[in-house]
Amino acid sequence: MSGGYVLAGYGITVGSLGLYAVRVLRRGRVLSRSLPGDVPLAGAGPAPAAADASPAPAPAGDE
Amino acid sequence: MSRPPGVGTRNTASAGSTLLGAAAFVSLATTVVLGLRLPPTREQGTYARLIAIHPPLAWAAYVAFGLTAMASALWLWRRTRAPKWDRLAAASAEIGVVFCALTLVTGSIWGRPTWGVWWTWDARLTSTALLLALFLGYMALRRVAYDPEARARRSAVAALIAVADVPIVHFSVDWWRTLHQGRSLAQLTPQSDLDGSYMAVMLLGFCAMTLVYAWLLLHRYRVEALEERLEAEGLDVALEERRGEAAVVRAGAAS
Repeated sequence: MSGGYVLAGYGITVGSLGLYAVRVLRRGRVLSRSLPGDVPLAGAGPAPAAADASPAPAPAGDE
Repeated sequence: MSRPPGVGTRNTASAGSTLLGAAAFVSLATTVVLGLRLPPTREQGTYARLIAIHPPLAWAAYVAFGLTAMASALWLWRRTRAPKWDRLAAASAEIGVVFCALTLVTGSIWGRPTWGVWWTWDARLTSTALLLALFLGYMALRRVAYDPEARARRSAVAALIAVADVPIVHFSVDWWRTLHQGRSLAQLTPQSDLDGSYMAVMLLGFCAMTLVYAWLLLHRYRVEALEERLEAEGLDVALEERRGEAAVVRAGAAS
């Protein structure tokens, strides 16, 4: 029985984080496809003349 | 507003986020494998194995809410005010809520066999539940105001109020007599009486959850930016349609 609590703790944690990650990635995919593409896929080559198309992955700094 | 930097036209991934995601996955998988193999302790038996995920989840929630508060403060300060801080605060708060909820769930699972109850109104548990409620309120507040400026201002103030609960949660085990054990972060010292394997796996858990948080934040931030852009472009399209309708009406009236 003791193993059940431990497995439940690990299972819920990994499962929930996995589900949340899938939800975020899917939302990003849907939104990306519904917008006109002004920047090529990351790493697929140089971006067009867009000033903010640098490949820096940091969340802050797109202003 | 254009697409966030480095983000592709088909998803929110970039080379950096893929690398970070791989590191997060490997470290989390290693934590799970090693955590489930920790030796049983004399006091708690195998339940102590939850130490590899429960304190790291709480740590990740602290980091997420701390970053939300920092970004909110930067938005409120006129010299640094920029939409990116509001976006970052929103993205980090949502991830923090996930980590905080998981902290409460894993704590409850640990508490049932060791304390005999799923829940008790202990200072640590109550203040953590309050933290979750405060940031759920923060997320609800973000959906109320339509004007982005008003939404950002109100939610930034709410985040700074809510984050005041983080030190209360952390030090609650010192400030009050609680059922909960002492601070896990305090165990990560050479003077600790915690077994070396437990310390190592818990430390790995802290790194894994931090990486998972950073990876989720990167993608969630980009989703937030794309949502804003879609909202703005949707408004532009609607305005164009109205202008077109008005032009037709004027042309009809003139003829």
